[in-house]
Formats: sequence, structure tokens, C-alpha cells
Amino acid sequence: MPKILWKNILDSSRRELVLAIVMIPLFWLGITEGSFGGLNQVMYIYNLMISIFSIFSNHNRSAFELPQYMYLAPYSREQRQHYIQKMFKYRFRVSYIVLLLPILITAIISPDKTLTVSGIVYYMCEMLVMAGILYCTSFDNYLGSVNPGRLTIFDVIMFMSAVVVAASYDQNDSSLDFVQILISLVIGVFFISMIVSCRKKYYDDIVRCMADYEFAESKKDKKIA
Amino acid sequence: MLRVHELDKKMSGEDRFHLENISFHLPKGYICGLVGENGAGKTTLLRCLMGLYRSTGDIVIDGHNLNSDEAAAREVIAVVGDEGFFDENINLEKLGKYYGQMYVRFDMEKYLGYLERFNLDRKQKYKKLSKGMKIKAQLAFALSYGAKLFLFDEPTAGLDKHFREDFLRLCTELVSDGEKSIIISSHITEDLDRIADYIAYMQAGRLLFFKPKDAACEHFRIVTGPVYKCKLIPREAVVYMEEGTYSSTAMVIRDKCILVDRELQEHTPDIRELIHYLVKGGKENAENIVEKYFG
Repeated sequence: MPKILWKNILDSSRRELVLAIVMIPLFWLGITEGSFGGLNQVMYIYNLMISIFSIFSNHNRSAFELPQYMYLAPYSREQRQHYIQKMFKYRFRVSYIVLLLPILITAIISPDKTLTVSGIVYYMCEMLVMAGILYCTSFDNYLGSVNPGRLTIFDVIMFMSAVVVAASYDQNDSSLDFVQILISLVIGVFFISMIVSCRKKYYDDIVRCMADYEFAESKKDKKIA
Repeated sequence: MLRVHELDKKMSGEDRFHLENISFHLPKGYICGLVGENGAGKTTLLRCLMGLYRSTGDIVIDGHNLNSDEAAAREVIAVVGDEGFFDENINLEKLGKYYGQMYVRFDMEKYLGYLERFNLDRKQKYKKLSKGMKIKAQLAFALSYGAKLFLFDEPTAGLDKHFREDFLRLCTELVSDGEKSIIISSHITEDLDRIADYIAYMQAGRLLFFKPKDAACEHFRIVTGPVYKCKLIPREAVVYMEEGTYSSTAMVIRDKCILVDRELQEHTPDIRELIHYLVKGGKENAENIVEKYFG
């Protein structure tokens, strides 16, 4: 893989890593407050940051966009598609690691709070929600050109789901009742279906289109506008 | 070196710009000046030649068709211009390492040699370079992978006379081996007057003519003299006449002009004058003249 592409992946990953590092003390504060209520607020902030980060930053554009010079370099269209796929794959691997990082660290700091069944279900759901937000919003720019209304609804639904997951744990003990587990599972299934739907329906199309400089530029112009 | 045949490109978006049926052939070792008003399609044409915009028709560069043999054709294209395609945050040495890796024939030693020759500090970050230095850095890079077709988009705009002199000398040096060719899109026609062998004139998405520079200019004469005497020139010979209070200047078709008075001074137009009068005369007029006299 070209060095400039590696550099691009590392640069974008650094931003995500900074976000994760910022979140670690917040997680720690949430844990030390001794309640899921406190931790819940932290998760809520984290969700909000992830949503803002992926919707309003250029993350979703660059997830599919090659470094500018690669559109000039001696590669065929097929090679560019191949590199976009690789770049996307590596970027998301980094994103998932970054998502796991604060949770793993808090689990090490305070294992009694995080390694309960309730804690694990809660974290797994939150992970799924955040991964879903990151993954699906990377398709926004493309979906937005198909139907701008759909884009907004899509974002709102995802963010509200994330809020519902966080809000369902607004209580002062770490136990989960059946209804809360059910809500989490429904939202979890919703996000899995969103991820699968994006992957199956749009991924190949968008990779093919983004191998084309003209298309990539038009998306960028729209984003700036 | 570059053969373009029936290139056609319709832009999507609000302006619906259409690059229409463009054909020309630029041989090895020559420089072509691409001129025309703003919005005539110069940059769009260059982007098609760079392979950034997909178009119909054929673009053959050094024997490789850009549509069917994209990677090989791109190996010999060099893009030099205002628009930065490089990552601005890396220094020139790293730029060679990162971007050179994409080219089969890239030679790092050669690249560092060119940086030295152009007085560029290899540790300097790309974004810290002045516009002139960026142009030189892009050139150094292109020369290090053996580019043969150089596409310059407004390379001297906003640069001082000293750099422009350097740049023009470099261009003539580049093509002197007879292996490389250059297309320069520029509004500074004085520069083109000095180095261009061919002139490609674009108007509203069409290539009105692609001619050897001297042949294009020699079709016309610039005539200056008293207003009343200029008015005696046959109307069909006049491309456009600018009337002043005491004297007028007109560009006329050489074959058609019968001088009515020796007081009228005449000379062959340079590119600046040629383009100026063609634009002033109006699009339709320019099209008719080119059709009639450039065949």
C-alpha cells in the first residue's frame, strides 16, 4: 500500500485517539461516582461527541476519499477502488479499537463495576451504538446526494437510539431488569441491521464512485457548501 | 506525444459546461500555449488530460490511451500548478519518499539533485514554500520520475518577473531534448509569445484552433492610423476595430486587407493582440473567422 495512504490513515486515527484519551478521565469519574447514573451521563456525552465527530467533522468524507495525489498517480480505476476498500477497512479497525480503549481502561481501573452481567450488556450495547453511528454516518455524504431528507432522518434516528440506550440505565444501581435488556437488544438489532444494510446496499457503489476524482470532488464541494 | 481525438466532456452540476469535440496533436519536443477567456474550458480540458475527469474520445499520451491504459499513461504525466495535490504538512525530502513510491521510474537521488539545483531546502515543509518554490518542487518531482508530458495550469500567475524568467528558461530547457512536451494554460500571453510553438485557443468549451503560433498570428495584421482612414478598410477584412478619438486600431485579415493609405501602420499581432481582438470581436465572429481562414 502506498506510504501516503498509510500516513493518511494514521493522521485520521490520531484524531480519534485524542477523543478516546479525552474520554478516559470522564469514564473514570463516572465509575468513581459509584453509580450507573454517573456513568450513564458519561456515556451520553461520549455518544454525543461521537455523533458530532462523525457527522460534522470530515471523518465521513475521508473514510472513502483517497489522498488527493492518488487520483493523479499512475493507478488504474480498479487499483484506486482496491485502495479505498483497504483504507476503509483499516480506518474502521482503528475506530473500533479506539472505541474499546476507554472501556477497557475503565474495566482495568474498576473491574467490580464493569465486569458484572449488567455492565457487560450495557457496554456491549453502547459499543454497538457507537460503532453503528461511526459506520453509518460514513455513508451519509453518499446517501445525502440520493435524498437529503433521508440523511437527516437517518442521523436523528441513530442519535436518538443512542440516547435511549444511555437513558435506559438512568438508575442508581447496577442491575438491569428485563425491559431494559429488551430495549438494549432492540436498539442493538437496529444498529446491526443499519450496518448490514449500509454494507450490502451502498458500500460497493460508493467505493466505485469514490475512485473517480470528479465524484469525490463534487462530494467535497457539497460538504463545504 | 499527445494525441487528442474527439474529446467530449459534459460536466454535471448547475453550469452544465460542455467540452465539445476536441481534437489536436502535440508532437514531442514542443510547447503549446492554451489560451482563452475565463470559463472557456481550459482547466476542464487540462483536467481531462490529467485523467481527473473522465471523458469520451481518445487521449493518447506517449502511445498509451488514458482511458484503456490509464496507469501507464499517468506514469508520464506531470501536473504543475497552483492547485496543491501534495500533502502540505510534509517536507520536501519526505515528499519524494511518499509520492515517489507510486512511480516505477522514480529516482530519489535525481530528485534530491533537482531540489539542490532549484535551491530548495529538502527539510523545508511544502506549505512553507512560496508559490514559485512550490512550482519548482513540483517540477523537481516530475523530472525525477521521467515525466514526458507536462501540464502547467497558470504556473506564473502572481509571480515576479525574475521567477517568470527562470521558469521560461526551464521550460525551453525541458523540451530541448525533443522527448518532452508542455501544455501551458496561462493568461500571461507575453510568456507564451516567447516560448510557445503552438497555440490552442478555446472558446465556450470548443477548441477554436490549434495552430503553430506563427502561422496563427500571420493570418492577421494589426493596423493603426487615423480614424477616418481605418474606416475605409473593407468591413469583411476587419476582425475588430477599436476606435479612439484621433486614431483607431484594428485587427484585419491579412489576405483581405488592401491598405488604402501609407499612413496606416501595420504589424503582425502577437498572441496577446490576437486573443484580445478575437475576444472583442465576439464569439460568433471568432468562430466564422476561424472556420473561413484556419480551415
